[in-house]
Amino acid sequence: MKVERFIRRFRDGVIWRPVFAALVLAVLIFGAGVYGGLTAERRMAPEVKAVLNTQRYLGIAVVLDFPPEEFHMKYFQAIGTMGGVNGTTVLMRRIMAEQVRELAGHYWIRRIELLPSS
Amino acid sequence: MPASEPTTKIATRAFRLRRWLWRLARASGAFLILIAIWALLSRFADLPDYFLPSPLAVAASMGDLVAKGVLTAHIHASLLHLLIAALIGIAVAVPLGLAIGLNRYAAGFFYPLFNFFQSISGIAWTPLLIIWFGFSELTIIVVVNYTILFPVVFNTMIGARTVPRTYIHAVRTLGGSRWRVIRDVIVPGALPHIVTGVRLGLAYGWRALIAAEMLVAADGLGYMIFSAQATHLTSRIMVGMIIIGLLWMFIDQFLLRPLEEATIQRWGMVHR
Amino acid sequence: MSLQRWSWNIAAALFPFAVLLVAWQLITVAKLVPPNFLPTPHEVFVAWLDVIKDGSYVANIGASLVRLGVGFAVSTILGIVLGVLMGLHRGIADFFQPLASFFNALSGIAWAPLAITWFGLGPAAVTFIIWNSIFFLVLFNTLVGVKAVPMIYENAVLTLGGNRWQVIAHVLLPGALPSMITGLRMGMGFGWRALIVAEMIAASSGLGFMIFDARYIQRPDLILVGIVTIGLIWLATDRLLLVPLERWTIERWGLVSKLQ
Repeated sequence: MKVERFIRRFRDGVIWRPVFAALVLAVLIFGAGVYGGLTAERRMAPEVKAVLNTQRYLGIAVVLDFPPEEFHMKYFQAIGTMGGVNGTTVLMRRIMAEQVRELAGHYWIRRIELLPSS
Repeated sequence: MPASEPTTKIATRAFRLRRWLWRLARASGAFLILIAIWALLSRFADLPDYFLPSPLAVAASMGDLVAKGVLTAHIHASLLHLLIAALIGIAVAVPLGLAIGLNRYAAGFFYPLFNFFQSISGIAWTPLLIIWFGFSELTIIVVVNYTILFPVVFNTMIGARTVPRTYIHAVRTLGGSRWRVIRDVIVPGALPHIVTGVRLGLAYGWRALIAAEMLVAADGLGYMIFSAQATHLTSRIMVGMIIIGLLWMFIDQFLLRPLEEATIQRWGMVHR
Repeated sequence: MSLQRWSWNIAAALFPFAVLLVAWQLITVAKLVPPNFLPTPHEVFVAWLDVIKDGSYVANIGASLVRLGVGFAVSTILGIVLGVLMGLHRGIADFFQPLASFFNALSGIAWAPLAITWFGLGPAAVTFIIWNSIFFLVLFNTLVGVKAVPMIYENAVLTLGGNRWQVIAHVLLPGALPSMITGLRMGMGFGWRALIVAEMIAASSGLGFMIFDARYIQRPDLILVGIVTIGLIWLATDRLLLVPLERWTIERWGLVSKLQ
């Protein structure tokens, strides 16, 4: 009896709909972050990774696929000291190592390279 | 009989698929017509460039915004704001509503207050909240929280009060404690009303969220479409609007309404 | 109801507000919050008198109500007419329902940037936003209400020789009435909220603008004047206009047993 009722309510969408909705919402909220975090290693140039644990402050060049917009500028300004924009590359003169890791977790960043001076 | 069973199974499956596709076509028909009219208007009407971007431009803009991470970040922000405000709101409102609903004097005291403050939308409080908390996400969450609180408390109150006294007396007669009464009678009995309250509260809350994000200008979909207006990126405005509508439709149809129906089916002592 | 009962009810309704007022005064006196955060009740009262005296109070309320009135009237009439027309034919109603549902989900305020792009800042944009908040809601509710009328009543009228108009007048309209009135009442609520927000964003007059501007010029007392005004006006509109309307139409047709 109970199994029948469960199956009927399952078909009615009373059960799979909320579950599906919860999954979709979870992906929308956390998906980009998780995906970015998992692929973070790929985005950092080897030189960056090398000094990440030793230096507290780095100077990096963030390479994007597009010229940065106000949204990105606000973000970069909040996360470190900007040095200027060169086409699709944003120069960060002084940024903390943890923030570099956070940067690497964004899927819209192509590559993070080390600035020669640091 | 056994020979025709496999064919009947296939036939029903094909039939159900066709019926589902047909229903999908019917549901989206009106949208397609609207998009067609939109495309024609944007092409042939004599309007300035930024007035009415074509559907293709809007679709391209959506792809662009996702690739640049802008849309994803704002969707993440808006949903997170809603989630946090909803969790806090429900956690506070349900016990509050139950407590008030169960006590006749408390109900009489708080009812006029709630009635009055409910009419003052959370958005009207936003300038004052900006003075208190600044242009921060906290302000946004407080506004949405305030908006969600009232419908949930109200409906929980009503739900608690409509539980027939006979059930309460029955549990008491059988030796149940006050706590038992609350857990086994009041909460299930009030549950349909509570879920309705949550649904109503989130509906108001979602709208308040978009408005608050526009006013506080920190992040979120409201901020995205508002700042897009300043730079005349009308296609972005439309991307934002479509996402806002779709997101709410999705949350309401797939999450809230099934939950509401489930609780009514299971515990609905109220005929609606 | 006897006068004694009636005055007792009023006193009971006002008592919580008296308590609130006392609590408010105590909070400001005890300096529980920084002084420029929460003005005292007296300061708010004085600010209120000031704004009445220089005429801006009435002017702002007037501007707001005019926009709301126009927006409400146009959208409810359009919404009901279109809703009934669409609901006449089951196929058409089903066809348009998803669309109406989507635009219903798209809150009025989400139209604000587009409204500003199309109409610029000012009353036109505000009225447009209000229209969007109310129209789709009324349309959707009317559609649902008309669809929900059992076919048996329509068929009954048709069998007895009635024509389309009689079906509409005697079956569909009364049958859809509860849904329509709910839509109207909700629509008024949404419209009122949308008005305040829209004026904050897109206008230079009106209650919403008054509140928003007050923050800009650092006058939290004016903000509170505005907030209390909103509550009072809505209370008056709801109690004096909408609830009696609901009671009159729905209970007259005996469709709902008793309303709160």
